[in-house]
Amino acid sequence: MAASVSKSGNIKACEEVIFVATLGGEDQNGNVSAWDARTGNLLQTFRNGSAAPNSLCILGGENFLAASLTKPVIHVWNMLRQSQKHRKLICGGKVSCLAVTPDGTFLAAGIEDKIHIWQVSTGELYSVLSYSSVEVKRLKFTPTGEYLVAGYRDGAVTVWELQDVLYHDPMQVKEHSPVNTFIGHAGEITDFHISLTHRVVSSAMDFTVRLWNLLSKEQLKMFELGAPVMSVTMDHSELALYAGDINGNVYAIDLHYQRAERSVHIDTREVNAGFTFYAAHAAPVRCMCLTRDQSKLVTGSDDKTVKVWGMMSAVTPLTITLNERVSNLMVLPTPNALVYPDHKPRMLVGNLKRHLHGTDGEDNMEDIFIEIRVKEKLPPLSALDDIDSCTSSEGTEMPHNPVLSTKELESLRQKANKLKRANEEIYLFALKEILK
Amino acid sequence: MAKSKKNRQKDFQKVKFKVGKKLPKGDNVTNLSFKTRQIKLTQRIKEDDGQKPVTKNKLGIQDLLRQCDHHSSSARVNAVCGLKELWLNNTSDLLIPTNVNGYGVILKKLSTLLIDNEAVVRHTVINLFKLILNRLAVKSTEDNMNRLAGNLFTHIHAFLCCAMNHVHEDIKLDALLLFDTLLDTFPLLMVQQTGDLMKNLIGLISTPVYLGTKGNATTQRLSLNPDSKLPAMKFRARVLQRMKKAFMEALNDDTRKRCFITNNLENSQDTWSSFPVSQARHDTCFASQDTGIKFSVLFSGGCHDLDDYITKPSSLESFIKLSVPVLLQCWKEARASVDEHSSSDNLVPADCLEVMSLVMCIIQLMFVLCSTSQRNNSVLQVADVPIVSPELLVKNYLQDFVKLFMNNFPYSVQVLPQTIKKRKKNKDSQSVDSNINQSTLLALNLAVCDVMSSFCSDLTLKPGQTWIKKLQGYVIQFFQRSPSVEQSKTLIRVMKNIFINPHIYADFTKAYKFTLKHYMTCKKMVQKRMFFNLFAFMGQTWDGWERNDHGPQPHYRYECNGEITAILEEFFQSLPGLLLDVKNSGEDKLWLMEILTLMCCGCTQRSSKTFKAALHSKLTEILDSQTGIFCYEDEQIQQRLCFLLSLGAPLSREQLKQLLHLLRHPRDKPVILRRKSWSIVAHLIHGVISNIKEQVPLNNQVIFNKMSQDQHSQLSDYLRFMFSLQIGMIAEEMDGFTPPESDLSETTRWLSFEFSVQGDQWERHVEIANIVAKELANFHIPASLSNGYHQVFTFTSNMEQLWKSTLANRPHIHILSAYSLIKYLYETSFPHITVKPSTEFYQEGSLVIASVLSSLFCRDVAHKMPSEEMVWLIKADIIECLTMNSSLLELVLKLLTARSLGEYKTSEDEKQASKTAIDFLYSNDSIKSKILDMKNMQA
Repeated sequence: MAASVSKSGNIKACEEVIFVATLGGEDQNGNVSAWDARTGNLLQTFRNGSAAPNSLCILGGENFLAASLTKPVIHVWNMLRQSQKHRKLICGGKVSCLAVTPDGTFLAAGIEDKIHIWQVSTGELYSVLSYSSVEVKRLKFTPTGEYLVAGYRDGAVTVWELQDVLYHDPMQVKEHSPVNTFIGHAGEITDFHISLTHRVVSSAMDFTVRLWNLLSKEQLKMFELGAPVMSVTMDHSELALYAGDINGNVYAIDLHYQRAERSVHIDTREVNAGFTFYAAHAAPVRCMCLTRDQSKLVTGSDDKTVKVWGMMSAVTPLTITLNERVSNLMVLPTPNALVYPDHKPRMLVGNLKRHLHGTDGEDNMEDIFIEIRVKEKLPPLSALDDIDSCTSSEGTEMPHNPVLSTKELESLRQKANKLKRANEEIYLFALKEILK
Repeated sequence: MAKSKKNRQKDFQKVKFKVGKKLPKGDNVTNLSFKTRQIKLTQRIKEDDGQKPVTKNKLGIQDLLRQCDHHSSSARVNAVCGLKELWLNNTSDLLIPTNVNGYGVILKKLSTLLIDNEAVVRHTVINLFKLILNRLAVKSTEDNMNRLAGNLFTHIHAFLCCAMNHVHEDIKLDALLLFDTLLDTFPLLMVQQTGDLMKNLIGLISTPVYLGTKGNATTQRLSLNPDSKLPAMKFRARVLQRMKKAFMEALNDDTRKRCFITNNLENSQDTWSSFPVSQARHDTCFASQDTGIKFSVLFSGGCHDLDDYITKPSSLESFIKLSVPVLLQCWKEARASVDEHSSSDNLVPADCLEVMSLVMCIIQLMFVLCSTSQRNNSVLQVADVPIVSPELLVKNYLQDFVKLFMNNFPYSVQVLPQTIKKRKKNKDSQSVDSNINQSTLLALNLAVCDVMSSFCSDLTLKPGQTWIKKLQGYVIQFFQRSPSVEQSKTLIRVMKNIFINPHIYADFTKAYKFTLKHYMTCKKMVQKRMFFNLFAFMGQTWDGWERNDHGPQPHYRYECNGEITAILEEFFQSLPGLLLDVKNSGEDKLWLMEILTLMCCGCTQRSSKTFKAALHSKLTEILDSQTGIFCYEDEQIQQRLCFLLSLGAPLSREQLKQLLHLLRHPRDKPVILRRKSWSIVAHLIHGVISNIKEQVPLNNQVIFNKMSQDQHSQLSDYLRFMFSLQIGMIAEEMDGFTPPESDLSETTRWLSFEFSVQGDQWERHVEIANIVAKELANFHIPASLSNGYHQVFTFTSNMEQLWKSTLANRPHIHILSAYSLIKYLYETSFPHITVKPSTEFYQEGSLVIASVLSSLFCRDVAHKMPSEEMVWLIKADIIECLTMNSSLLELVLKLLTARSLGEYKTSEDEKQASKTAIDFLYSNDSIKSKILDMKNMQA
């Protein structure tokens, strides 16, 4: 059903894709769409369904997940089966935020004050985490998928160790508890970003951005901006911090400016070497991302635009105009599924279960399997032809082994036959001559 | 002749010597004998050169130190006395650390005398020690660590250990005295560089079997010294007391250090400039605070050979392993004697009870120390890694302890008081003594509770039901007796430990009820605060669920635990009242902050309805402009309060009015603080905005149209609030300021403005106008075609009406209102705003803009303006607005030209002003090109 707007050749040519979700009505088209990051062309739209803020995520390079704004439903769009209608996974309550592990095995959803963790392939509910009875607002996995970080409405941030949390203790002696909690904020957590070295920057409605280490409670640095901060991100090298506030300003802050100060106050009216800022949008900057090469900043705002800023100069950013407020933003290298939409889908997405895995009385553990997707290595080009010929001629046994060609096989068979015959002869001889 | 011959002979007569007779001495012999007499120089009389301080006997420090090594004991005593005299007379000189013969030398010498054979010498030495150390400790609180640290302390430490290990029991006991003094004066040093001291203490009461070949902890046994002057129990009690004291200091210290650091941080957050220099050394991004402090400790005197401090995890663990068996033996022996006595003549020797309670206290303190967090320097302490993990303690000791302590736990509660009572009957004179016993008994029982509860903090523990019940029974009993501050501290620890364990706390519901009751009725602020902390912890970690282990399917059945939820709800409900109480009683800011944080938490929790109701009822008081919380002039507190308001306790119309009042009054210095670019004003407005979003469903038209009557009125109150913010005053003030005139002919309408502003009113208003205009313009609910809502919903029409009714019939308005209107028009003219204001509203707006422009250029107004900046800002904003919105520009130009041509019977001055205004507009490039465009279009 989804209309491919441009030809597939176009899609092949683009390197990175911006996925944008908007806050339109449930029935509106194009709430989720894909855009070329370089040119700003519309590549594809996904029909129907809405995406609540902080809920868009990609699963295994083929599926999109997004929580509905109004219903207790998670929408799943498949980029491969575009002719099919998108799926709806029903959950126990309205989902406020969603996250998927980088390898696509587990799905975490914030429902009211609890975090539910499902295995994607089976839909088994593995864990329900609760820290306090405060609503969860934001969820993210660390880039390695080791830790799950959750932001709460009262300004607390908790860190959970995924492995620890998934472990299902049959004696159930231990309640899961977060490995770290950060409670420095005095306002609702709006966004946070986890760097590759496990540093976290979190932004909140209390006008501040705070920098801390994933596994320590100590606040390393605090930046005070003049308005509630809605979104935040940081570059890989941890040199600069980008934050967007409610007035549509985007700040680029040098993390190493005034390195001795624990709290830095940023006053936009003063010229300062420590930061630059642009009045980028006319409405709150809801979300921001960096492109893979860290050279461009993508910001999405309530003023219905997404802008792509070059780091070199802030003049004339690439602007994508949408027809509703932006709720989610994602920058990805072009997924294969978008380029070859005719491939067979690989990901299994099970219906989400409501009861904890292993509680329904059935203890048949042999049913449970964990599918971990490992990226197949591309065979070298020369080997490709061989494989093709092999797979066509020889069947199931050893399709990829070029050592045993048909001829050798034949000779081996003959030898075996010879031996059999000899054996038989010896046997007969023995019968006749010896046992006489 | 003969006579003369005779005479001659007489002269020369031969003297006859006889054998055996003594030879007579000659007359001319000189007496060579002499007598000797001893002269004793008991003291050297020295000339006073007036340079160096000396004693009465004119002895300097050097001499005295030398005499300390004298072989005569009295000389040594005298020397020490002389040192004392010097010290008392010349303290200030000796206190200078760089002084060659300063206190350092004296202390070093004195410590060598600790193992002196003569009791007199030791006692004088210890007295002098006390004197000097007390003085050193008092002198300055910040750097007193440095005064003993380093080499000097190592020295003292070595001799102290030596004395403790001495053969003579007296020397050991005297060493304990010095140990006490050191603990009193330099607890920090003692804790940080304990070394072997604690092990030596244990060594005093037990034989060091652990050094032998069989070396394992179980073979260790208590030692009995038959020669000892003191009974064994007494001796043990003395040693144990020291251990208890040392642990208490260790715990104390922790807290003190923590306070010190957090205070530092608080200060640093208040002001940007006064940042502690010591912290500024490090790069905040990469060096965390811990390392800095560790370094400073090392630098100022921690030496490596004494690195074995109590709070170090490995040493504490090994110490526990070493000491617990010995302590248990002590307990057993003491218990044995109790049993005997209680069966025979009901007398409890006081020292047995003492030893028992001491043993318990030490174990208690050790365990508490174990559970305190390892990194005692980090900023936020909630649940760090404990020094020794509770799992280990459970594994090693739980069984023993349950057997030893818990079997008799009710026994010791019930029987011991009885025995004491009986004793009282027997000997009435000793009632004071029995009082002491009573208190030690309480301490003993509490300590048992504490120790057992510390096992509970290990989450994997699922203890048997019996001793838990005993504990609960005792705790409840205790609450009825109104515990003291120190006792409630322990009780709180017990309750907290139990709450941590998800399997046990359910059994304790009744105890929690009693605790809450106690908290509610508690009058003393100190105690109240302690219990507040307990409930705060519970409130923040409680998620309302409990695991049910008893069902047929034992895995992960969650049930709502109503009872504890109810307790916590009650606690939360009391918070608003507490907030006001604390504010009124003038307690410190930290507590206020904690309460506010907790209230935020309460607001966002699932069971928040009752809390919100409680908050709502108290909100008027909290927002009071005279006595409310906002009057506390502190940014952080005001900020927290704004956050609290944003979380969705419904605000009534009166309360919104209060907020308006707080924002603007008193005029010269409003209650709500404002700093140049980061102000509480913005916090408050954003708070109210998110509050209304909480109250009224504003993201879906279907739900929006189903809202209740209450929500309707709330929404309209909110709009009025926003509008009042825009016009810069509430409606009543506006009426008082410019009463509407009824007969005003439409054609000649032209507005005049009031330009007077006070204080930072203008800047404040600019900020408010920006925020409000942005919010109102950007707000919309998207259309939803399938549900039949084809229109996007916005507040535009409501705002239009409000503005119209305000502007109608008013010839004179305040510049603040006009500025807000300009801002609002600017914000609505962005392309992404789908619903634009109607043309009528544009006409109204253009009238205001034109009036403002012409009055800005009017000569007699120019001098009324408070500042040039204000004029420039208004002009710049008008230009910005007109550039964005061409239809508005057209209307404004039309009005201005008509006026400059004198269509409305205007005076010459006004005509002139309008003309200049047009010229001003034309002088701007972008506007000029816009006008040209428009003309082209028309053409």
